[in-house]
Amino acid sequence: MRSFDLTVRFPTGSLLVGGASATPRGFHASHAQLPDGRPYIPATALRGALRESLETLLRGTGEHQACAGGDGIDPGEASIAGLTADEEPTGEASGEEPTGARGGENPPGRTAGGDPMDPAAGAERTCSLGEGGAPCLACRVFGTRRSMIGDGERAFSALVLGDATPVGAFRWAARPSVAVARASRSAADKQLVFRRIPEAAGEPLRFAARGWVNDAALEPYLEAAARATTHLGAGRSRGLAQVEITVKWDDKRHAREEARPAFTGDLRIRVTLTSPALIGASVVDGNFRETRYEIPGSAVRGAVGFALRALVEGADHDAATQDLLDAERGARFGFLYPADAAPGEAGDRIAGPLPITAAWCKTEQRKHPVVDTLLDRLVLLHAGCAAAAARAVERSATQCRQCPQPQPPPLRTAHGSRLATQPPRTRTVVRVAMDRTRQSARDEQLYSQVLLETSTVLEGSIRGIPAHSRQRLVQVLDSGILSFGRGRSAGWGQACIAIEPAPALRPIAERAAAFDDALRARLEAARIDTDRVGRFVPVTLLSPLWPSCREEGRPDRDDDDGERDLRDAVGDSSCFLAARRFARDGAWDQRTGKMTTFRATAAGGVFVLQLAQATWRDVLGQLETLERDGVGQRRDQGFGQVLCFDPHFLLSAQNG
Amino acid sequence: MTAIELKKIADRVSRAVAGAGCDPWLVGYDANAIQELITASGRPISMRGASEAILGFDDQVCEHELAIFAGGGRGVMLARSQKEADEQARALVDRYRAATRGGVMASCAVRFERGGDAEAHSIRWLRHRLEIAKDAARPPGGALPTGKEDECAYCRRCLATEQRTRDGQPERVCVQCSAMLDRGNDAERQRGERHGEMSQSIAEIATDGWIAVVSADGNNLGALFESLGSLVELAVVSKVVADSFWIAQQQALEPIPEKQRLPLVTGGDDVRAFLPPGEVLGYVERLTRGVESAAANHARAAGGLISRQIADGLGKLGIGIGAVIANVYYPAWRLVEYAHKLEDSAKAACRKQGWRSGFDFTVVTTEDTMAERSARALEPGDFLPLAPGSEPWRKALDSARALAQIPSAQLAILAAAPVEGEREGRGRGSTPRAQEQRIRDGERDKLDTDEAAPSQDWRASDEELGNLLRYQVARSKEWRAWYTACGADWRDPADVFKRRPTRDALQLARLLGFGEPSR
Repeated sequence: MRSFDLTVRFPTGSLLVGGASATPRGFHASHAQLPDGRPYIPATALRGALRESLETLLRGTGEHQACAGGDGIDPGEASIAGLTADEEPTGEASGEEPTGARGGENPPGRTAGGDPMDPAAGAERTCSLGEGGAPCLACRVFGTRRSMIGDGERAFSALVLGDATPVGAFRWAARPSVAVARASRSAADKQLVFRRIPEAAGEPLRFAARGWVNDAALEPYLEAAARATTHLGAGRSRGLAQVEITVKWDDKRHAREEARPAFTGDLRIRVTLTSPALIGASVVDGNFRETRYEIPGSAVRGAVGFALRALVEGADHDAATQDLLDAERGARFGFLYPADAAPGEAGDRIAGPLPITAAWCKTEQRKHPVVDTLLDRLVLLHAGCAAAAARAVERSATQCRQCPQPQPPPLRTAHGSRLATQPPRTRTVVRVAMDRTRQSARDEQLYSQVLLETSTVLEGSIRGIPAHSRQRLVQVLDSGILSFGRGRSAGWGQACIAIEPAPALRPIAERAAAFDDALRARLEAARIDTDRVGRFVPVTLLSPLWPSCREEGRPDRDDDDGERDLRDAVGDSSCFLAARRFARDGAWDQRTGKMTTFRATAAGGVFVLQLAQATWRDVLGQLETLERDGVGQRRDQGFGQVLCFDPHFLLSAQNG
Repeated sequence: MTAIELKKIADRVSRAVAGAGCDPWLVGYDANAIQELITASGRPISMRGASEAILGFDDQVCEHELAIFAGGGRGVMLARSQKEADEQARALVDRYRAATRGGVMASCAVRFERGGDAEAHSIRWLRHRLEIAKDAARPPGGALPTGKEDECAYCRRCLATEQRTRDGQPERVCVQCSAMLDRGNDAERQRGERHGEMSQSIAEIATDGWIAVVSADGNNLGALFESLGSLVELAVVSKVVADSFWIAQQQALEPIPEKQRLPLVTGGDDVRAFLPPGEVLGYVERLTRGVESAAANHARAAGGLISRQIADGLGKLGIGIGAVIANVYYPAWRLVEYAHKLEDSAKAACRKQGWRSGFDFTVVTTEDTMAERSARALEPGDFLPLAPGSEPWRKALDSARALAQIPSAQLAILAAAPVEGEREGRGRGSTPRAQEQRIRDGERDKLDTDEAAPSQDWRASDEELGNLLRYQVARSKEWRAWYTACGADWRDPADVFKRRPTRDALQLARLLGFGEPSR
């Protein structure tokens, strides 16, 4: 792996890359702009321009074939076969199943069935134009359209390249243009267009980006592509887009100078995004893709695995790597949840969503303190008559106590991370897949993508780390090449990672005693029997739970929400209260191309178990095991992490 | 709704209470995630079908001899014993699941006590128990897909098992979407027709690819229902609220051609509609007027059946309305969700300002983020939300009409002004001190090049922007007309800068401009 700095210089003018930020009123197009107002060049645009140059170069040599934008078809061959881009049918329209051309199983330039070009392959087609049926060189450098990586490959794309940000002075300028109606020898009606572009102030406009290439054999091709690229973005005929790109290699960037202090036990990691991130959601609408606000443990584990493959020679046979990632014996990669940039005051610092019992002011939401309604619910469920219920409701948190009387707003279910006072900031970008052979956008290939903004902080833990894998884990967390979510090759999801030993929570017994005291006080205030106090065990889901025995498609087990797993873990008990929701969850294995989907009990769910005979003191050992090991399936990917006697339940007393 | 009709409701409730015997129980139900269910498919016919399914369910409940009220997927009924109540509660959940092919409903039962405050306490007990039951409801039905290729073509959430044809093309959809499509087709079909008249897709009711989604509901109704003292009050108030909103919705929709509107029928005080953007402001005014006048009339009619305090509250009923105007390619459910957030913003303004009704909206371009209203940085001079029909509403509309006359190219200079987010972001981490701190914090190996750019102030200064504006205003009668409409003196250099159009003004002008020739 070798890092580089990319300098993008516009010697004679400026550029226009649209779609990456909102266009101000009055303009018809605006160049991409960062949230802080500076212009930038999206990595996707940079990669597109570089790729186009490399493809042209390769085809020009007469020795290589190169497809167009990863579609697996050499435009030269396509025209020989009489298949022009305009006529290219899609798989759906032709009614054929996508076929062949997967994983280099076909000869170069050929797809299944022996046709020169099989149009039915559509978006799923994999390039096999390279040597021995491998993807062409452009696909190896920039990636191709496929849902899984091949054996022995380290990533979908050898090149990782981030957004380019401005270097030196600039200013925004409005560039008008008008279309001329030749027949009337005057300006065409309604054809005055205003474009908002950055302009140099003094020196030519310059941008800088960083990246790396993980295959030394492909480095010369990046250099060649950079030198051959003469235009970037729109407006060539208007004097925009002329560009000079240079690559400067940097062999020292990822070498850490000082060793981390030794540590034992679990780790708390604090991730600060240094580029936007798109964390894949399980439900995606056609051309609108939203990000998750948290990073699932599966994505953390996947990021670590990919980075180790790039960092460690022979990672597939390295015991420390393999044991770290082993589903049974390996580490448990927790979900990362948004956190404030400045960590809050001391106390229990628990990474997780607010429990479903949390509530806040309907009008002011986060501006007023969050309260919790679990004790209110428990008291109400104890009520055996309308009068007792009235006494219970009287002391419940139903209205905001911070808002002025006489009609304070009601409380509503709160949501979001415990460690964040605001939801993470997001950025929406619009991307279009270009058909480079036609120099136009592909049909129905315009996407809006919502990204987590740079500087978003997320926090979570990695637990159960095998002793001999610790060094590997630290190595990868310090490497600077770890990235989360989609768009890795476009530099998305990169982060700075701070690590420290995970702090221990207050002992369960202490938390349980405080809970009992609070519940008893509430029941007594409502003049309700307190017999059950001591037998309740409230369990909060800090991450989604995939029950052990749910089998999708089995109606008798479809309703399982994980209660059975929890009861099994604590012993003879029943569920007194369940407050939970459900979410479709899943994961995509990039090595097999397979997606797993399941209905999880959403994070933040709360179950209150009532022990049949015992009190919580009798099952402390089981509760400690439950907190340590979690419950349900996919625990190595952070699912099923739970907390007993959540301190959040006592918030009402503090905030009420 | 006349006093006689309301009296009939009260009599029916009294008969039900008498018929519930000596051990009466209250059974309550409330559908979970009703909006998600309706908008899941994103297709008008299917959304209509889901609405019809819910209406049909409520109608069925209403036919029960011990029903108190039912509407909008919520309802209360009586049972003669605990056993019967538990059975009814279970049956309601199962029937709703069957009617909606997997929808989720919560139900629960409490003892119905009478005498003194007991009846009021019982009703309140049921309300709060129902809130708890909602979080304990079963998971939604429907099998999950095993991969992208198995997903329902409409909702993308469930396993596609049904083969259908649309515009001659085959498509695979889930059981729920398929059933709701059938139901929607049936609802619109006239005798002898194969299908109803409803638009095939939301794109067909859009204006140049833009659609407006409106979400609204009543203000302070939670507090009103919390204060009810008897089942008669519960039935009468529920009916009055439902009727007031239904009538207002019909009046508001009436001037909009039938094929250009898609009201989602949910019942109760919930109002959702897809409209052409150009119709939004008129619709909002009519809806507000309709709710306020219908509620006042009905409250008068119900005077003898409900307490004075409840009648007063009902008579002053208002509405919070949110609207989002966006490109049609956004998923319908996402737009409804965002419109609901804006509705919350409008309702919060009502509470703070003491308004009876409020309205908030936004125009979402393709690159805008649908963030919560509170996260949107408010600039000085921003005026949203607004109280429909009020003096500020009329002033805002007048000035927006004048602003809409200014050729859009002349508004480009306003982009030179910094916005709140930019002010925040400016210089972030770029000062030497901040960089030192970040290095100390262990961020040494940052891969992005944010720090590569030196700190700089490239935006137009206030003086520069002021000059640009004054130059523009001096030579444009449209600009001068706008300042005049705002009550500002365009000859005063300070006023020209200080009273320049805000983002809210530009948004309102844009909303007014939908459907009109561009300038």
